[in-house]
Order: sequence, then C-alpha cells, then structure tokens
Amino acid sequence: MPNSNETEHFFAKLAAIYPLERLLTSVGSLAAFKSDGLTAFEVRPRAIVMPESEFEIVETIRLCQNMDVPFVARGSGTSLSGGSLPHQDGIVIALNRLNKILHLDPDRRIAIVQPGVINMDITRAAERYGLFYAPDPSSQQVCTIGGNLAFNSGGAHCLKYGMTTNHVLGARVVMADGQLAVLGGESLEIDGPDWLGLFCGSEGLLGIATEITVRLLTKPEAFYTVLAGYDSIELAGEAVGLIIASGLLPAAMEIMDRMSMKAATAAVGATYPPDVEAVLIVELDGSREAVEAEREELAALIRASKASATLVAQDADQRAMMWKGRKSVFSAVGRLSPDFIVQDGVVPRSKLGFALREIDRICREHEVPVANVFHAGDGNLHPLILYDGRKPGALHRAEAAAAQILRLCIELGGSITGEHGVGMEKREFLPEMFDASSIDVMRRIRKSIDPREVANRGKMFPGGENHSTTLHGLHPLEKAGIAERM
Amino acid sequence: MTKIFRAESIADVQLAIRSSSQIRIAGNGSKSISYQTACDSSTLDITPLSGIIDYDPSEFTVTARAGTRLEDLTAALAERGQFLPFDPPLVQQGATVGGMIAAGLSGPNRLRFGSVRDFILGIRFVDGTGAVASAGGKVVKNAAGFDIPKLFVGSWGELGAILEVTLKVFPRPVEYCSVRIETDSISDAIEIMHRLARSPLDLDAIDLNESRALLVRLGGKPNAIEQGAARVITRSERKGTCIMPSPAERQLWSPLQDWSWCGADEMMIRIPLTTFHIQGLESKLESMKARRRYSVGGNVAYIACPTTAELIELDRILHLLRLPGRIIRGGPVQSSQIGQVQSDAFSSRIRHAMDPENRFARRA
Repeated sequence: MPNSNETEHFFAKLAAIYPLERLLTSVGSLAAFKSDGLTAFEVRPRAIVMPESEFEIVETIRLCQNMDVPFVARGSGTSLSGGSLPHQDGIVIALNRLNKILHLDPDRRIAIVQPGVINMDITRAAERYGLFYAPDPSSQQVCTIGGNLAFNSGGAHCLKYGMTTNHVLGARVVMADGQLAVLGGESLEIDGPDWLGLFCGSEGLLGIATEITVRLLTKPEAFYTVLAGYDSIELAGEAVGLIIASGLLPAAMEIMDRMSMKAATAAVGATYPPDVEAVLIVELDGSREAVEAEREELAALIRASKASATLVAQDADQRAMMWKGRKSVFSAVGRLSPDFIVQDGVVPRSKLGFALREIDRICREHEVPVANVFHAGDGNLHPLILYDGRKPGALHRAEAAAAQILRLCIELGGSITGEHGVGMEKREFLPEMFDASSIDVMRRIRKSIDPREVANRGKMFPGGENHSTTLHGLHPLEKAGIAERM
Repeated sequence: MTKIFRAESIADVQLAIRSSSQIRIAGNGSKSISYQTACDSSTLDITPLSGIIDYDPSEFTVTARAGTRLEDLTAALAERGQFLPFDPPLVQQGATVGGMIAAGLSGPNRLRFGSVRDFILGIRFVDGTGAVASAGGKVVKNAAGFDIPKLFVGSWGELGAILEVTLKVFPRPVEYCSVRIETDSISDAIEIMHRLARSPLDLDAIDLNESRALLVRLGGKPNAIEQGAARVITRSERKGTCIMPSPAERQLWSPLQDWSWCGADEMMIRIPLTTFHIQGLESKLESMKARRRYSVGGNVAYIACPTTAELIELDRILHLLRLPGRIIRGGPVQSSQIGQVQSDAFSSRIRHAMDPENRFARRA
C-alpha cells in the first residue's frame, strides 16, 4: 500500500469486517505480536484481526488480495522458525478465538476442530473415551492445531507415529485467494491426489484451515519407559543403533546431553543419574502382551549398550516426569542463557555420532555454548546454541554456528528441518537442499494459488525484493529500521 | 498419433514428455483400466528405469526407481527383516514402485501403521514442462519445502512422471495370526469393528467380508499375538475362531492382496468411506449383484462390478451418498471416477502448476 489514502481505505474496510475489540491497531497491542518462538526477530505488523468465523477470514483474505496487503495467520506464536513473524506492511490474522472442538466421534476415532484449538486440549477431550491425539510437540500445552497443520509439527513420538500430516484426515480451507476448498475427508483412506498432504506443512503459504479433522488413537494400555545414562553422547547414539538393528520399533528414542539435563533439573526438578554425559530415553508402547514380549529384549539391549545407569519408570507419574524433563528443555534453556537459537536439522541416524562431534567442534570454533537434545530415533537434532544478545557479536557468532550446522546436515544427506519448518529462519538454505527446478515447481504451486504472494509473504522461499535476508548480518528490515532484534 | 516411448534414461522421460501433447505413464499394467473411447496419447513405459538405489536398514529408508517391481523390493526388505507396513496390493502381479505411488493404494494390513501416503518420504519426478525436480528427503523426518511426495499419492500419472521414491520402512512382525468372527448383521459387524478399533489391542487389519464375517489380524511376537487373539474374541463378545500362524492364515489375506476375490472379468471399484456410511451403502446395494468387502476397519469399500449396468447403478448410489468411487481395474469405462468427484479451485490450480500445458493424460 504505497499511499496513505489506500491505507485509510484498507483500515476502513477492515473496520467493516471487525468490531473494534477484534481489530487491534494500537502500538501496545501490536507489540504482543511482533515476534514468535524465533525471538531474534521482531517486526511490528500494521494490525491484528481476530476472526470468529470462517466468513470473516474469507472477507479478510479477499481484502488483503485486493489491496495487496500481506497477511500471516497465527495461533499461539510458538513457531521456532519465525513462521508467524509478521510482515511490516501486513496484518496478523490471530485465530485464537476459533478454538472450539466441533465434533468428537469416539467410534470413528476422529475429532473435527477449529484451528485455534490447543494441541493438548484435543487429547484432554478425547481422554474420557480412552483416545488421544498422537503428535506431541514440546509446546503442546500452548501451540494450536492450525499452526501444527501449517508447519507439519512433530514431537517425541514421530518414529512410530509420524508427524502432524499423518494424523490429519481432512481440512476445510480458505485458500490464499479467498476461495473455499475441502481437502481430504473423514476416512482414513483417500481417493488421490493427496491435496491435503500438500497443504499440510505449507507454512501458511497456501491458505488458512478453518476446520481440521484429526485422527485419534486408542491410548496404549502399556508403556515401558527407560532412561539410561552414558559416559559419552556417542555411546548413547550407539545404543540407538543397537535398538534399531534389533527389530524393535520403540515409540520414542530421545537423547539429552549434560547441559540439557542441567536445564531440565533447574526448570522442573527432573532428576538424572549423576556423572553421566548423556541420557537416552526409550519408550515402548502398545498392548500389554506386546510390551511384555518386548521389554526384556529392550532391557538386555540397554545392558549391552554400556549404560552406566538405568532407570525404569515404575508408574505413570515417573513416566510423566521423564517426559516433563525432556519437554521442558527448550524453555528451560532460557534459564541458562538470555538467548538461544534452536536448530532442527536431520541427519541419517547412522551419522548421528559424527554429526554430534562436528556440532561440538563448530560451536567451540565460534565460541558459543551448545546444549543438545534430540529425537535420536529420527536423526532429528535440536542443538540449542546459547548466546547473550546484549554482547557485541554474540548473535552473529551463534548464527554462523547455526548456519554451519545446517550445511552439515545437508552434506550428510539429511534435511535442514525435521519439524520446525523453513519459515523465516532457514529460507536461504532451501536452495542448498533443492535444485533450481525443484524450487521452481514449489514456486509455481505457491503462485498458482496466490500470484501476488500475499499469504505469509517472505517465508520459506529465499530472495524477493523486500524480503531477502541471510542469517548473517543485519536483516534488511533491520537496516530499514522496521525490524529490531531483542 | 499414438506413440510408445521406452524410458531407458531420465533424458528419455524428459524427451517423451516434451515431444507429446498427451502422454500416459505405464508400468506393468497390474492395475490396468480400459476405456471406451480411445485416447490420442503417447505411452511412456517406465519399467526399464528400475532398481533399488539406496537401502540402509538401520535408517528405516529405501530409495528405488519407479520401474522397480514390488516383488523385488519387498524381497530385499524381507532379507533384512523389514517390510512396507502399508501392505501394497498386487506385489506378485507385477506392480511397480511408481504405480504403487501413482495409484495410492494400500492393502488390508495398513490399519496399524498407516497407508502409502504415510510412508512416502521423498520423490524425484519429471513435471509437465519436462524438468526434473525433487521434493521431500531421504531421511525419516523432514519438513523442508512443500510436501510434493504426498501429492503424487493417487495422482494416477496426471501430475508428473515419477522417477524414484524414498520410502520409510519398518521392522516386520515376526508372525501373524488371525481371528474370524461371525456377525449377525451389518449393524452388528459395525458395532464390533468400533469396539475392536477402540480397544488397546494392536490390530494390523480388520476386514468385513462378503459373508459378514469379520477378519482380524495381529502381527508381532508369537506369544503376544496368541494372547492378543484371545482378547479380540473376548472383546467382540461373539463366537470367534483363531487361525494360528500358518500358510492357511496367509491364505486368508492373499485374495485381498492380489485381488483374486474379484473376478478377472469384473471391474473393481474402490470407495473411501467411514463406518458411518456402510449401512446406507449396504441398503442400497442389497438388490445389486455386486460383491463387496469393507477393509481397514470400515474405512474403504471394494466392490466387484460384473457389468456396466451395475456400474451405472453404483455411480447413482454414490452420488446420492456423496461418496467418491474409483475404478482401479477393469473396464471398459468412460471415466475411472464415479460418484462424487472432487473438483475445486485448489486441485485445478495445483494441476496447472504441475503440468501447465496439460501434457499428462487425464481420464477421469
């Protein structure tokens, strides 16, 4: 919107859609939406709208398209890749008021929910039927299902259960051009092409889901959760290899290093064996007889893996505590360091040991401390690079280390992101993972729905006239004085 | 002018696409559908592009070229104690990796771990402009870029020519056993299906056959599945028979995996649905001669249609029930889709993005 006349016109049109209390424009209200889980960036949007119906979303998107105003949909703003970072010329469509579970059918094991429903609330609603919603990102107490769908969120149990995309059956979406589409349905089976599969994980570039049909699973009746301590992180990594080679299919395999343990202890009082460099959490789940048949085998494998200490969760509380410790790490690291960058690159499982040594070397080289906590079963790393943004050059060093870690993941045949998405943070790396013709197909897909790139402009794809950036140095928005770093 | 191209190389695929105004991708024809009207398109035979490119059992991933026969792929996996958990059909009938993705079909044993869409990780393909592109990755977890691999599931050659795919694989259950439960009526069968699906038992398959018997399958360690089978019968509160691990047990499932339950001269139609629709569909199908089975815990129906007359009637019924149907073998038919056909702006735009010049033949 180049001139103030158009701006005035745009706001008048917005005010025709939303009552004042759901159209926020004051500096104070906008401040709360300047940033998401990627706290290194802040951009103040022009307005926040809070739709209460699909109709309002349609009207808003049409208006944005007509007037070339970028928009970003947002739930709880927990994106670690800057996926819900606002655009300086754009608005934020906050979906938190669309937070109803519309339908829950225990027989067909499905729930139909609005995008602003909190991930954990689906499980809370399903619990009384013995059901649960499987994807469990660490932020599941606050993150919304709309954001989970947009970024194909993962969690600790992806090895056996998959990611969000494997648990979403259907969605009603307002396309980025304001048209409605129904993708998928209520059945576990589809008649392809799998349009919903494409929509899932499209990072808000193709549209906004207004109703999401998710699959519920029956809560496993038995668990066997072991926490094993090791003298080195490599030994923990080798244990994962042993377990995989045995033919067992654990629901989760997670590794935490000493720094992560320290953070979890400080934050939630989780206890770990003393004097170990790393712990591995392995969980079997399933029917009583299946877990019974496999637990001995797992216990023997752990013994063979040179674990220096082993704890087995004796009841649901102990199991919950093991997971609470693991899931608290991201927020807990905030107690150890004023700022941190979390990467979520993936490497082939067999290269985990090598990757961890390299990460250690890279972080030493750049003089930034690193805490490692990761989904070992998937090879999904989560190095938390700690820095103090108030110290000159600290962020730059942290970003340089992060960039080198991402390149390492690509070199090892992995991915720049396992579950956090490309977002704002990793868009310069997309062309390092995919060649030009592959990116061209992705761009064509985006443009076919949204030729003006109004939906979540500036994310996922590199370049572009007003949104080129790298992880190094000042962001162009910063140079222009529009964005600032915390 | 129809022309047959044989793809000996990726460059052959590109050339075939660029030099055809309409092109159809073919594998071994295990799911061949015949059409009433001839299509003026060239055919691209991708079977020469075959072979496993990369398989590391410890990664739970395998990458294979589109023309690779599933028979060869599953044998290579079995050697290392692994399998494709979505139970693709027609393995012994020549089905290829590319056809498996393009048809998007999974078998009865996909109930436990998911369907083919849940196990595709990466893809390399030639798009409608003749460019080679790739998407997804070669590791079990990846969220970078659009999930184009999934888009190819059920694309029937209409979005691009698949060159190779990376799949997630799992350790194979040691043994399988089955339980057969007789039911009184369709509503009775549905109730038992619900009860079993909601139970904490690890069930690999729940199928309802033509004689209203429920077939339930459990995979795992011998002790566990035998105990599990007994619990299935208790849960069902009906009379049931256990079929212990044996060739006879495998025989129970093979007609559903090789489609031999459907006559070679019949058309086979697939209908994704939920248990909510089964009774309505059954009441309308009662007068029809078409045999049918419900698989994956009542999430998909397979119907064997003897003649075009039944097909027309089925089309009408599916429209009434607002269900989509697809002919997955046989013919001759006008279109492979019957019943409610989804066509919205989303699908048409994406089709255009993948294939701007409409080179890939659409027979829907």
